[in-house]
Amino acid sequence: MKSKSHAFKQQAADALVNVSLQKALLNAKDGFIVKRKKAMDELPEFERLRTKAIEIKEHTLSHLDQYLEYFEQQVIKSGGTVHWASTTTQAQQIIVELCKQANARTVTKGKSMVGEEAAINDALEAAGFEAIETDLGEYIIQLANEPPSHIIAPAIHKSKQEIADLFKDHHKKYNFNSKLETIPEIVNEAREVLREKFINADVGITGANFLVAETGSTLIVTNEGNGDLTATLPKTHIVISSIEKVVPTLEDTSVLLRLLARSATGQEITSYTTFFNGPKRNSDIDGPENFHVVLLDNGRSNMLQNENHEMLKCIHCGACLNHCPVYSAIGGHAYGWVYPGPMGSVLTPIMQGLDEAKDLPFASTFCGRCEEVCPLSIPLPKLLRQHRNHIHHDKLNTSRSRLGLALWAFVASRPALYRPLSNSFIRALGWLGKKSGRFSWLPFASAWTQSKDLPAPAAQSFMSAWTQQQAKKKSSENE
Amino acid sequence: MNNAREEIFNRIKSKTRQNGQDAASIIERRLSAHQRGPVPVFPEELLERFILKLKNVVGTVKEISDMSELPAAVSEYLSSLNVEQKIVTAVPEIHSLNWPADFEVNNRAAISSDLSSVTMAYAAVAETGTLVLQAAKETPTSLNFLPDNFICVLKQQDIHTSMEDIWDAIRKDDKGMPRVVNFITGPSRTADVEQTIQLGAHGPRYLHVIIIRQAGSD
Repeated sequence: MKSKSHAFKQQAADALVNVSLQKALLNAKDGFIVKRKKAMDELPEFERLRTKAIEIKEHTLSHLDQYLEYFEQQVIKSGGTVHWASTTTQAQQIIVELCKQANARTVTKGKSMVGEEAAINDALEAAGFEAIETDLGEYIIQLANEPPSHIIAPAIHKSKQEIADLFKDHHKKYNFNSKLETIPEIVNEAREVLREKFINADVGITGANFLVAETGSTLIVTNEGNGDLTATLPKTHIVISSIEKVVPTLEDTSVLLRLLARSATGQEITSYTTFFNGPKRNSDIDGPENFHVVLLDNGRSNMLQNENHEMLKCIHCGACLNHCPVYSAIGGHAYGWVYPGPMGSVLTPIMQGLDEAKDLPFASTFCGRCEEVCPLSIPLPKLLRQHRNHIHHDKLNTSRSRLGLALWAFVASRPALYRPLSNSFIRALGWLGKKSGRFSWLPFASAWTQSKDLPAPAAQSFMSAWTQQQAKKKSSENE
Repeated sequence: MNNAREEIFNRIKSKTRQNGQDAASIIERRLSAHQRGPVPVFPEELLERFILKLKNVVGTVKEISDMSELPAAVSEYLSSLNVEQKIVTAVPEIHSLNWPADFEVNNRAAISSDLSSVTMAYAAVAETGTLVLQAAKETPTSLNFLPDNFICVLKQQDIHTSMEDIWDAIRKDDKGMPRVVNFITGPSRTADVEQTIQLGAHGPRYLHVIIIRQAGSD
């Protein structure tokens, strides 16, 4: 999809007054946090697993070309083909071409964030294929013609009623006309509609949570089983993934799997974790005849040596979204592209350009919870701060904020100037706000005071209180 | 076709510093060492742990002492669900059993209209209550996902501690990586509508494990 990240501020403002979205966010937020915490409390090995996971990712990224080469060789040995795409356009071309070769009409898809990144559905539809998302959340947002609002729960912003209305509109053509009221009714109708699609699909496209170099396996974790039906029933199985997803061995994969589900949904393991290794073998009585893996770069290789390389450790669990006060307030769509929340605020400027997404690095309070819950300890606040530095350096911010920062830097880097100035400023504010203890209006601070009062500062700065206290101590010692 | 492969590898090589021979032996060592990370420990016996964890994810269990008891166990389970006495399986050991006369046993992969399937697990992981299934002629993958009612036979001696034990078992078989390895933990589920868990999203609505107890175990 085309990025709308440049309109972040307006989208965030709209999200805050969207009643049904706010209700959905409230409903979702605590569920993820509570379930994750419970799962982590039951895992005393968490910190050791985290340390090992970081070692695995750092080791793999520093030998990325060799592991990718090894992975490719193993896929070929098992009878599959690996295709390489530098750009999302190349990925689209490869997949459209493979679907043409398969004489496909219907293409079913398992959930893939890389597929979203490369806008595979748009390309397939433009080429005349019927492309159907089969993960229930992805299916719902496909009907609504919306991007995912969460990387593991794409339709988290939709209410039961909104989903029932969507199904009513879109399922008429399949002769489903009953009024859906309960969640089981909704899930059952989707099951029946999509069952037909699974059976009739010519090509199935899934993502991959990891690629195992040792065996050439691609693997997916799901709860619905849609990914497995997508991979098993059609004649052609195409896996779309990205180059940083490779890990060395099956043992390394097991380490990451123990962290992934717990961080994402609080499950110890998802209902289905499946390793795929090439097409149907001679003795098999089911399975796809063709097996293709499409590996997308899209700027990742350029991140290897710069400060953003930390982001390549991400295993897409979504914990940083669930624990982010900004994401919890505005939801995923405000971020304007496929990756929302802290990880999205780091990735979108890299993939869509700093100018396009220059507001995202500021969509953070730097509270640090994202880094704290990240199973790979990715320093997300640090990466966002780096983006902010670049935005300032490249003069992408407003002249007003640049002037403010310049004045601040001038004063703050000169203690002889800063101390008397800040002292008198704080004293004045403290005196003015003595009565009520807060300000409902202040010059140059309307952005703050519009929505909340500014607390009045203490009448004295820390430095002056410290100096006084030290002087007192000295004089009492001298007595 | 494009030359993306070369471009990508050139970009990666220019950004990761490594000296050929050394790097090659580093990754070879890593790939052959199969070094394990931290593996969670648990106090229960393997069978007890497996059943405990399976029940947590709404799987059901029946223990029998011999394969010959399987038809009765399957029949009883299907009756409890109030569905037809009819299964699909591809395991020779299962369809050659002595099934009741009015019981229909189809010997093939699954098709959309199949309501109940019976297949054989390759192994199980006690840590998480997980069944492990391999794609093979006798155990086609469609049996695990298409029918509403998925019945899986597991031999007690095939229950291992962790996922890592499964990798060792597959290596010991020395037949290479199977085409598909499914780790299955409970029936199909979704929480995509208002974060409410609903079973039977696309895959089986019910998962029933019939464990054949190891001779001599109690």
